[in-house]
Amino acid sequence: MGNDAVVIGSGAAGSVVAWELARQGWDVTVLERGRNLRPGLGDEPSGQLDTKYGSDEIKGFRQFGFPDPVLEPYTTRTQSEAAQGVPRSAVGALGQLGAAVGGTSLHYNAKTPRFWKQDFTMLSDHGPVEGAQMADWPFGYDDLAPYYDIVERRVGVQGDRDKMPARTLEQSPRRQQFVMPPNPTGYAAQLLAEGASRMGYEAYPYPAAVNSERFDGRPACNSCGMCSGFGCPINARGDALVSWLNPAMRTGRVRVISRAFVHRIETSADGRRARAVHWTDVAGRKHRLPASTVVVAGSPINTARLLLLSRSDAHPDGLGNGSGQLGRNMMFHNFTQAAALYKEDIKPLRAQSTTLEVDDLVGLFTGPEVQALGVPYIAGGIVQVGSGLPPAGASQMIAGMLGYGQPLKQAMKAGILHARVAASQLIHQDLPQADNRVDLDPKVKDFLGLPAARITYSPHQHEKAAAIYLGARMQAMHQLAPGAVAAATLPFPILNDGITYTAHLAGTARMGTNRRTSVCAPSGRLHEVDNVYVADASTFPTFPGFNPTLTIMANALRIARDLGNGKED
Amino acid sequence: MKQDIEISRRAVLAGTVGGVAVFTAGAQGSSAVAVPLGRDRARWLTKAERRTLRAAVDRVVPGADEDTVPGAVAARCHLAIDALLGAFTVSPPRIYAGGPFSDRGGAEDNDFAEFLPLDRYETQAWRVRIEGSRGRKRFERNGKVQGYQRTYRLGLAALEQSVPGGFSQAPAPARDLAMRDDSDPRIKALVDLLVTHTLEFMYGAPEYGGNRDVVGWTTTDFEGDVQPRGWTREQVENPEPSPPLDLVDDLLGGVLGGASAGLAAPLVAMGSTETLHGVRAVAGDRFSAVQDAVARLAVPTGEAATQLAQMQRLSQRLVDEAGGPR
Repeated sequence: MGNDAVVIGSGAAGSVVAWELARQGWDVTVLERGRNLRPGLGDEPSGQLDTKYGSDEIKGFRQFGFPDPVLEPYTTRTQSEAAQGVPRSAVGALGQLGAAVGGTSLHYNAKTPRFWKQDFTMLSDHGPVEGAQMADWPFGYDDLAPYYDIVERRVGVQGDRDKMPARTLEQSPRRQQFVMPPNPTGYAAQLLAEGASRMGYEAYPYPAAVNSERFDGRPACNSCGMCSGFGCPINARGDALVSWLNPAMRTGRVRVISRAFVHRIETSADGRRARAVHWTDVAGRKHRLPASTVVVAGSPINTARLLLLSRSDAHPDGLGNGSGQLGRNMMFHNFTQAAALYKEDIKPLRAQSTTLEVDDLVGLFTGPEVQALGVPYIAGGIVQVGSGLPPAGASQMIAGMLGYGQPLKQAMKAGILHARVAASQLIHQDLPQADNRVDLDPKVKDFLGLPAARITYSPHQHEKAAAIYLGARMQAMHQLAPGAVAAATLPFPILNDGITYTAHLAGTARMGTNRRTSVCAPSGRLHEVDNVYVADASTFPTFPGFNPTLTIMANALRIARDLGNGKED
Repeated sequence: MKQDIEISRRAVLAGTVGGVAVFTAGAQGSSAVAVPLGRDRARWLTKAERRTLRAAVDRVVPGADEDTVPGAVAARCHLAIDALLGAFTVSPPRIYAGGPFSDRGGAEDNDFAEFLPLDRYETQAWRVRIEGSRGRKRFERNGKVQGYQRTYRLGLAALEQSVPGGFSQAPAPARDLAMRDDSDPRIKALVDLLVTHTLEFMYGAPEYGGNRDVVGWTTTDFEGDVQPRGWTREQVENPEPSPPLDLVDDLLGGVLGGASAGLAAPLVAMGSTETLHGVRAVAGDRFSAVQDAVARLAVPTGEAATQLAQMQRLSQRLVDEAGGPR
């Protein structure tokens, strides 16, 4: 086996894989469909990279660093639409993640909680759930913990172990204090923390890959507040590019080809080994890159699409899809949004976004009140506490609700979504379902003529029950915040039967030991192909309610380390 | 390691890099270099069209004559829209402002003012969006794309003629009515785009041509982009107290629908990037689609309404158990 690899995707998973394989002496080519937005990439230390990002909302509206929905559409529909034979109900941007060198991590919110022990054994501990394909992970928290440690030290995670509840430390034990102390706590978050306290909840500093002090040659965050959806203008955020890919490139063993649209993994005639990766450049020219090892890290929708596009005589239903599970178990984190309204300007945008978290709604919850909602248990999620929305985005929500003209103008003057609001988001666990799936759209194509990914998705009854049960608690917490004159809650799983926006995706190529029920082995290797690995969140068997990037990185590091070491399944 | 595919510096400067950029250790010249934009803004509309557009953006964010605070015309949103339509008449095209800093947060130079060269992918995407697919097969695989330019040209002409004596000369109430009449698809398509664009330019960074003198920010208590200065610990944790704004009461009793604590219009909970991006992902830049998406969240029906009511009852019980709001 040669010591070279082709990695598809340069986001949180692909960059970690490139770094680890390069560390072990491999030569790596990374293919990325997006553009590089960090001048100096590969040449300069990460602390000296330039950036084209800024605190500029309009760039975000114009898909800066994202795929273009006309050139590369996704199509979507709900489960009930699929059952009625509706081929698609929307075409465009819904479900899209970023497309840039470094992936979506360039403009992520950089919240980096760990998953909990209980998340790895949901099936054994709590049994099956009707309509869901519950599963254990093929390893446990303790197996992942050393990788969490490495990732946190490398990206630079702020937090305060001393302020974490005992329950949290029991569920996600950590040997050491965080790399650096927390950022200053936003005023809006402080107000909501009091509301949480009146509910018996304990708000504490949110672990985040954000520098609270100088780290790795990069400066400390100055709490500008334009975080989620924005690239950090001052380079204070640890991400796939600065923490992993750029250092890997500077070893001289990693090259990155941007704007490379990969459309097929070619195998030997018997289908047992990948031989090459085929990609098209933006001008439509075709390229074939020989490969002795292929690591797929395109994020769940694109990873599934690529493996489905790579079907052949040996793999008629898609590469490595003997189980029929490829593309299935597509999971999205739904949100329940809540907010408190104030008569005073409480400066929700003056803080590194959502400085506090509450994990009292993670659960599991059982008992009569839960049973009454028709589910055996409720698995909840973490709450991001105390944010606002900058004004150009706020104006669109307000106009969408109230209409344009005077009502819009007065609501903007009152700053109801950017100055006088304290908002929070609960990140719902999403149960895996066979019918929530990615397949190839039979008609809609991208600008290169390849079938678009089609996503069929509806939340499970569990998610709806969780939204009732936990949404009520979110509402109460915000209503109880001192000084709030109003509160409101939007429980998305109830309000929307399809995908709502989230940058948290998982499933489609779940890992497991049983090749009849999973796509990948615990090593990430496709059960049916000897030298193709999946390293991104596609491999997650379930999707606990935590921001996933830290776990994506830790799992990718685990997969790459074993791959480099030649460890067998 | 050698760069596999050469990219000429000239091509990078012109934003016409071909399909591929390869980055390896030691590679040089692959970074986009911003070319300063001249003082002349990009233009595309005729003078008459611009007059109609000016009269239309005035209804999206009405002017100072109605409440003493400047609106979209003072912010020059109509000129910013014209500049977007003519984005490709200048180089680099006026699509993405530069970064990382404007000069509002303590930086000496204004990077935002130097628009970024587009790569080939971005050029294709934005040419199609502005100019339309114009019969090019690779952009019409899923149907023809009507560009912004045609939507504005057809729509402004129809809008101008929709009011006797001309839209641009009509009093405000007549213009409001004309813009809300969606029986003419040309006007509906126009209003869909121009509301979204007006809001973006009114409240977004002024380098795009709107938000003149940052009136969109100074009138709304938004502190603007603050990098690289940012905020101190004291400014974050203990911001200077602001007086309560009675306008909030007016809104709660008025446009938010007579709301009281716990029953506020769901709008209040829409202040998150997650909601915004979700709505935009569904709706794109069509305002009526934004309205539809927001309505689905705000006005649930059927089972969703039942479940929402169940959630509200449960939350009220929890609030009562905790001793009620203080």
